[in-house]
Amino acid sequence: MKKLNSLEYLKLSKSQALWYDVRMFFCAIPGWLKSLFVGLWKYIQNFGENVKDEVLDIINTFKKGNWAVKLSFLVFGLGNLYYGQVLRGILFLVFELVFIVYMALPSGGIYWINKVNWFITGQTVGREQGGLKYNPVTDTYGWVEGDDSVRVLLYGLLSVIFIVAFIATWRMQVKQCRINMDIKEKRRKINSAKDDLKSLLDEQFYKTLLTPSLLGILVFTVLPIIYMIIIAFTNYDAAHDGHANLFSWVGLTNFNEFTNFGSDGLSAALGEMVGWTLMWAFFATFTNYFAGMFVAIVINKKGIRFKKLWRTILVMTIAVPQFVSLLYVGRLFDRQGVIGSFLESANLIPESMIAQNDYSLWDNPLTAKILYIVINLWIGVPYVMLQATGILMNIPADLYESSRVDGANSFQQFTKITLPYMLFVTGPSLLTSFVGNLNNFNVIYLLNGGGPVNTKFGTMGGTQVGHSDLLITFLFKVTTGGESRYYLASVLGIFVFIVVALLSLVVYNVMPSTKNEEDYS
Amino acid sequence: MKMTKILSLVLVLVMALACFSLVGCNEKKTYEITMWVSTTEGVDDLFMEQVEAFKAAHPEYDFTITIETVGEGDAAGEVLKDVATAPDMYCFAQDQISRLVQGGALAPLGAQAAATVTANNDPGSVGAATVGDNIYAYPFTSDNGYYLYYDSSIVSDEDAKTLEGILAACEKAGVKFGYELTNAWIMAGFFFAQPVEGGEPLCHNTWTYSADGKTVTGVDDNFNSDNGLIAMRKMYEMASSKAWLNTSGDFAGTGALVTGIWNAGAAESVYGDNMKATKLPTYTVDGKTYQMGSFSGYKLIGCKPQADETKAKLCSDLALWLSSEEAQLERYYEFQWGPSNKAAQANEDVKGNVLLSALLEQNVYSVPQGVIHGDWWNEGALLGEKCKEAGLTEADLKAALAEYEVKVNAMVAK
Repeated sequence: MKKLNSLEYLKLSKSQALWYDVRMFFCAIPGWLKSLFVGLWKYIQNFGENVKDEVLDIINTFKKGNWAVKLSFLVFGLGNLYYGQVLRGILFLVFELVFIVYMALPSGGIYWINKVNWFITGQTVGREQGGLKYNPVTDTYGWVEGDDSVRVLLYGLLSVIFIVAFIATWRMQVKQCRINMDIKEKRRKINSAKDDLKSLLDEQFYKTLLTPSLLGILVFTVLPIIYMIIIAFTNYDAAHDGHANLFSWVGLTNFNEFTNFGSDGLSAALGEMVGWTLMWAFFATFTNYFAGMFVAIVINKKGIRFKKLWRTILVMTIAVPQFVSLLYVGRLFDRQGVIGSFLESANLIPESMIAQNDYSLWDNPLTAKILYIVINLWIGVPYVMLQATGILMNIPADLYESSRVDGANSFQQFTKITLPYMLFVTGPSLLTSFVGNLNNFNVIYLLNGGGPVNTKFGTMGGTQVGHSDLLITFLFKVTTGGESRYYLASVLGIFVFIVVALLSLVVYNVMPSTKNEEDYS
Repeated sequence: MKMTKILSLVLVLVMALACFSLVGCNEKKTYEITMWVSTTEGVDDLFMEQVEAFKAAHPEYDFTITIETVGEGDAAGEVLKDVATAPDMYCFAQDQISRLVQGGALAPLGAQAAATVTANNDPGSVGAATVGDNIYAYPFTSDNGYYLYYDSSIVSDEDAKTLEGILAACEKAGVKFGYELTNAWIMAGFFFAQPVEGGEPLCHNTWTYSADGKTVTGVDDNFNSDNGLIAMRKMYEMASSKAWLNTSGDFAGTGALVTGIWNAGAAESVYGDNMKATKLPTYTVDGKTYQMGSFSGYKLIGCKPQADETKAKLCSDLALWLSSEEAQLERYYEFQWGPSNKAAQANEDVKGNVLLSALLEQNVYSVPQGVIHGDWWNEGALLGEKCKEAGLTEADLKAALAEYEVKVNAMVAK
């Protein structure tokens, strides 16, 4: 599509300009994706370069180093000790000893890593199967403990991470040897333990601050994610729960379901689910956003009385826990619920729905979807209203005044001042709420469990597919359904991650807040 | 001097520790048992009283017990999250037994205990506790079935005998008839119907398990047949009625409803003195009349496999005690739970109970619920979902049954 220059663009009528903008947006998507992949490729290339540099550096260090440096390739911290950095040297040495002892212990690292049978298709995770054993004396069955795949995999993974940390530490202390050598060559002073500690509170204070949070992210986010991804390559489910039956590696079998492109295969069902998930996220985010903003503006208007009262009433919905209010409101619209039965008895259900035996709004796919969005509005508006109220008060009043002098009406003021300002400030939060809505489990599941059931697909992964199931609610049903297919849930989780990550990257790229960072500063 | 002081201090500490550990060894071991029971108010208190009675009768056991409430329908899901930390004993509804056995969460009964359970309980409940070659649990109620509640001011006793009569009466009065088609357990009543003149039920659904109870080895299911189509057609006909309501618990605005004894309170609060209960109705297709069947279900007490054999024995004895005639009768008097114990069933009071007699009436036509694959419940419910649609032809119904057959056969391990 031809790109217009600014003169040509200004010649377009309003509707033409809008149409042009929309088309430009969609035409730009391939470009973003391309730059994304180019970036990734460059990153990989750089990675190769970096590895080469690292290796060269290590070799050079070994060649140029004295005996202590050479020996520190085996004994951690010798290089530091030689150059007088006692504390660092001891810490490195202790780390190495802890590592060796942990790995060599009878039920230590090597023991666990060995039990996992990493990714060998057909092999079990863990080696000894626990089981029941009859004791004729007490006339009871006892349990003979065997391996537990879940724990074996976890400890194995932790041990592998420990090995990675060991290698990284080895590299770090070799590098420090080299740095110390350089400093010595230039005849400058090498940092003592006291200097190190001081610098951690001074120029390297960020390290002190970041360490706990980094550890937290590693333990509570990165580790579980790796673990969950690994599950996708096993057959972990109710029949292979790791305790009574060890689960085993199955290679890429679980991903094969996605290549089942039949009209009633999992991929078709997922296709519909992704479609509705995107539609839901779009409507849920923007209806809330605009309605919330509208309410905030109306309440903010001069001349509106009891402002605090209106705000309080709206905020009340936040005070009631969502679990309770969603469950309750969902039941209101049931056929025998207060609103549902009123609609039926007052003959307000359209003929076309009754012809399909749909007597309540939850029974019909279309009305159910609309209802989800409308009820979500009731839940979400107060949040946006609070947010918008704060931002609206922040817009400089002189902008409005001068625009009024220039003859702008209130609609123009809204589109030219309020909206751009709001979009700029709330851009990142819009993105997070969009992503949040992609995974908005509560509203969908608690209101009506993703219903009505989509009989076209029947059951997938042992659970029923709903017309308004989001990927996340379907994932939940797969996990908690009759046979608890954790492996399928893991595969779906990876799928959800890809969808959400791609969308976030695209949306993030077009946000005014990131594009024109300086505009309002 | 200083050195000796430190040394003596260390020695004293070591001695103290050694003494404590010796005391620990000599002490008789106190077991800690945790148990999950129904969330119904007061049930935990009654179980506690019964456990205290057990303690008094068996001084040889030294244990403390913690009783928590978890719904019998959710027990398997909660237990299987992590068997290692699950409670030692728990009550559960029988439909979960295959998952629990598969997950190694149930210890089979020893020979004596198995003989006691078999001798004292009705055959259906013993069958429900058996997987493969072993009995895995202790039955304690035999009332987990469903039957018809109706408001006799709307639905006459005569109407209540036939499905057509109930629907007509409800339509006329502008009220609803509750029958939960999207619950496979209740939906199956249509498929298990049998000709009124007697004979085999229309359909059956039987699963076979390997001897260790861990894998499904086969399924014998004839839902996809001419007989099954009879049931399917009737379900569709009922679902097309304006009076039909898909519920098994919400009595508001209904004239009749199919559910179990656990909803007796709700039924009474809506129907009041007009509440009556009886067996499920008959239905007529192509001039032939069938008596609706049902699943009869049971509630069981399960014991987790223990590494410590004395503790295993203790759990087994306690479970036997809690599922004994006296314990079951106490529960009947307090909560109207129908006993599985044969002697308790013969009790005059139990026999005279209106609701339990409706259940017993229905039990004649019921299929004891065997051990069923966990995925079947969702698959069966789908048949009910299908019937909710409009404008279906017989071919559509047949297609739904064919699809069902494919999915059910796929559940059997290859």
